[in-house]
Amino acid sequence: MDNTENIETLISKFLAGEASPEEAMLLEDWKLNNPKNMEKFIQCQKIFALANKQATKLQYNKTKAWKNIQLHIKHETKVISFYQNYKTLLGLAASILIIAGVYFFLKNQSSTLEISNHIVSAQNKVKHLELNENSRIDLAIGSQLIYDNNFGKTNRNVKLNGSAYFTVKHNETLPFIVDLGNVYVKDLGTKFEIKLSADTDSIHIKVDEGIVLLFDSASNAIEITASERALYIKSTKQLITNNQLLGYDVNLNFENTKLSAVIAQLEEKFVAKIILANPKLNNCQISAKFKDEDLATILAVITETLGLTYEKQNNEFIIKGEACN
Amino acid sequence: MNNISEASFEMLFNTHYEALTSYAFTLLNNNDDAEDIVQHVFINLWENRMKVEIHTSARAMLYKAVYNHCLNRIKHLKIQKAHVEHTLYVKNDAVIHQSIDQKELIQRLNLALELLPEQCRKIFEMSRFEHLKYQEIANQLQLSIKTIENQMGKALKILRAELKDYLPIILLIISKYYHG
Repeated sequence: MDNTENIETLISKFLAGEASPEEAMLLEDWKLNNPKNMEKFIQCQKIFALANKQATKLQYNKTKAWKNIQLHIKHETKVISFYQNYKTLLGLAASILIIAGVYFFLKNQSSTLEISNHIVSAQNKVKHLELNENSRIDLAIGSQLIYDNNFGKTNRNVKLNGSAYFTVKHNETLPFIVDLGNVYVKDLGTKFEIKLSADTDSIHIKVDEGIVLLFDSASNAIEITASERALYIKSTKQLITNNQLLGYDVNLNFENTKLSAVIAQLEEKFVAKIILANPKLNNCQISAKFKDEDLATILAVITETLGLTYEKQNNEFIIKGEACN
Repeated sequence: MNNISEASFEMLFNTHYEALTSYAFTLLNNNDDAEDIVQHVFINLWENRMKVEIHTSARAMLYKAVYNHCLNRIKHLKIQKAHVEHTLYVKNDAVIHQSIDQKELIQRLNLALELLPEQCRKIFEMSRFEHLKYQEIANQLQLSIKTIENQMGKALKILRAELKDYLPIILLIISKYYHG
């Protein structure tokens, strides 16, 4: 396309956000065809920006974008391979356990089997474990940790029922993986805490040092870095981090709901801290629906609707205002 | 597409990411949404690489997918807009740093606009200042979309000729930023 007579029509159509995918491609080809064309396009872009009182600059971060995408690609393959290994391992472990049981029952003597499971429980007080590869685990009361005797040799997989604090030495060839029942946490060099909620549907992860990867058998995955927290909801397979920009499957319905209750729900959903500067605002009521929105958007909509304002200080959101509309 | 390797997928990304993002940006006027949607489209493509039978080129498919996702996003924003009178975009992104140069440029633009034929100027202003879609302008002025397209092109052509000398001082509109 070198029809320069009509190129302005195509450019203005594109810049006005009216171009079809085919037209956008046509223009892209034209731009790349000749540096002069590119220059002309940039000039037109400047005119449009100048004439637009709400001009926003186009900004993007390609490196970061590729990292985001890679995260999804990599996890997908990792999860599948691990999950398959895990299933075979579990099957093997189960059958060996049965054999072991029969063996113990008959002989009543110690086992010499190659693979056996170690089960550690913390019954009355926190249990400090030092596993043979310099990883430390502080097991919370009422929690249980299971690993086999190949731990540290051919695997570093542990199964956790309950809560624990992990200090893990990173090992590229032998990743440390915590199995939480179809949800896994993999360390990438780390100190982290895993807490099972009392409702047992949600898992809280807090990372103090390094990075961990939280993933499940449905290929959801998220990296949690130092001083971040994340929440995993088992029943809905939701992964939520406190500084996540995008809402994951957020589906909130408020109908004449008190602001205090709205905030409680948002805090849980987004693992965030939200403060009402003025206690009078607790009783403000709001009706609104949010689907797949991020926290900032939700707060903006709520405060705008009620005639309030909000601001972010450190990791807290503060809602301010005298009274509601 | 069945046997798309990670390497060829990366190449697809490297070749088209920028163009797709700037296309999405023209439709949405929001950087985060534009980047988000393009990344989403790439992830979708990867995840469905076994299932998807691509009859056209991968490039055409990417453009089409970005376009459709953007339209969905716009639809969604309209619902949200019912809650908040002004869209958040106006608030968040309309940070205008008007330098003296820019003020002068706007004056130049206004002078150049005076030179446009009446209808042509009206259409350009409705599109740029009132942020109306081509369809909306066509309805209001009882003209065809084709006329709006042509008049917009004409306006741009005249404005570019008139403002050519001043354009180099306008700050670069596209800025890439890298951090970390």
